[in-house]
Amino acid sequence: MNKRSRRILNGIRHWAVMIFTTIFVLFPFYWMVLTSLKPREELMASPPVWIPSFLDFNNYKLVWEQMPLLRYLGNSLFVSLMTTIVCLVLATFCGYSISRFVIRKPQKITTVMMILSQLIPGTLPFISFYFIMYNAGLTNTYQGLVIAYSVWAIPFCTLMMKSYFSQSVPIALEESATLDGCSKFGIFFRIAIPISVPGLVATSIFAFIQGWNEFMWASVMLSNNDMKPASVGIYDFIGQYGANSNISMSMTAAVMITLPAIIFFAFLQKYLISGLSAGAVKG
Amino acid sequence: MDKLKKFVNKYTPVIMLLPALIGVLIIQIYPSLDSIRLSFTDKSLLNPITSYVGFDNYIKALSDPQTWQTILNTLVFAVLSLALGAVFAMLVANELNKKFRGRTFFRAMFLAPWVTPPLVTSAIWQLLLSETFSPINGLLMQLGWIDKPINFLGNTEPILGFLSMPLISIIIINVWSIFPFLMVMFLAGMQTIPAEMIEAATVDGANSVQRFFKITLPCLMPVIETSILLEGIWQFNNFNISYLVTKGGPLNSTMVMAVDVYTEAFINFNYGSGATISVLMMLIILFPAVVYLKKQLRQTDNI
Repeated sequence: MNKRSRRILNGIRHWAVMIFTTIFVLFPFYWMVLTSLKPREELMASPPVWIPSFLDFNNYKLVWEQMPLLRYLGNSLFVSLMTTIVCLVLATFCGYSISRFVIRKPQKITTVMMILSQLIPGTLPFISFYFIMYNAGLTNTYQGLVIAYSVWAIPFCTLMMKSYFSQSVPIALEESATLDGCSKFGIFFRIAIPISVPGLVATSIFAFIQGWNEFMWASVMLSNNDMKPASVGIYDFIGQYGANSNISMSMTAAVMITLPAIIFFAFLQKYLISGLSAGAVKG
Repeated sequence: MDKLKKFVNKYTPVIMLLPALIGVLIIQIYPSLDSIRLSFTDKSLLNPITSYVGFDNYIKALSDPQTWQTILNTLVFAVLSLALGAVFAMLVANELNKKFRGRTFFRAMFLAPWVTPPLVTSAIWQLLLSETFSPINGLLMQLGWIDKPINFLGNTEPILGFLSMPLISIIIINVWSIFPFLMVMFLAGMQTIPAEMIEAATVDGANSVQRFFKITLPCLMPVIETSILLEGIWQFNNFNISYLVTKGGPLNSTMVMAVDVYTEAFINFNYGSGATISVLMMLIILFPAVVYLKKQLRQTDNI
């Protein structure tokens, strides 16, 4: 095979993979949006209607009227933001301590605990945790949800911050600051934190997405309709119609919860990727 | 005052890690241990007095053929979604690692399933795979490949003894949602491979397939090991896809252990037997978990 035909073959393979993946990834989204906008009589048509004759925005109006969407989205936003803050503060402190003082016992124990708690099936502490929250009066509260979410995100975020610190903050810089009489907290706030902003951003995006997408905890811990985050609220909304009875309404609700997440992510994805990459290389 | 400052400075490392450590201990480690205790009790909503019943729950669970079917389903689900997801992610990452127009655009677009709430993922795919509304069935019928719609999520007829259409369906759905994370991990690893190495191989006449298997893959091994172990454990514990798409049905054909625990504990309100299943889960995951833990600790020591 000569060089030219090999190049062409590589090009074909390259674009075949790109096009296949694009269809695989995007088609579900296309169908979701399409279903929410299709006129009623085209929904069940066979063969399926791939491009509708006109767009019917009526579903959006109906969902908006029937479901407290803003309330749900507001709950999600509030809980996810609080989770991000709590998780970020704790994980940054902890990750820094592990990355700088590895040789000592407490750090070692903490590392083991963090890795361990990532590996435990989420369902193992689940049942007992529910009773702890119930007895503490924290079910049906925002605090309870924030506690649950942050602790679930802390281990991964800690390890992410740890690898960011050990890769991007040179120890020599800190040593010279120590010689100049700077305290350990001083070094942390004046040197380590300012250098690590990209890592902090990546970690917060991760924590935020965890909170935004979470479903299992919220469905068990909340029965109060006013506090439900969007994931549970929309699940209940879809459930009340049944999976197949009102497809276009369900898909409309689905579009409304996905859109904020995708927009948020589109703006910040490059930080997430660089932050994850920093962690990925060393594990 | 000076003494206090010195004290704080000396114990700064410990002060820094205590809050997170305490949180994890109270909210994950303690309840995990307590769940193990619960698994030896008959605690349930209907039972006003909880008493210890020894290994009764375990004997009951393990003598029920459904439990074994659930364990098998869980393993098949985790292994197949991981294998398919990893191979697919590798293929895409390898192509994304080349320089071409629109590369960052494609990369960002392929990450979309990852940030899609699991609830939405399952709602869309339920529609895509439903008997009546499915555009996939529609297309296949339009092309004349099939005569009547395939009931992707309803046909429980076994395939090869351990698979069924609904199980295959939720595996495909799961691949859709997990491959982006693996892709990012692989891509990040690929970017650390020195370009000179690839160039040298090209000069020596290696074609792209040889370059992939002789250079890219061996260099990526550490990243692959870590992400596959971690993702494998996550998929073994996966709750969302099975619960949200099929609720473990029809006829338990997609029942995985995490959903079983949830159903036992929070729908049937048998907390004791729910906890038993979760302990069984932990026992199965123990071996890969220990491997992962050891690997991580070795890396920590090396820093």
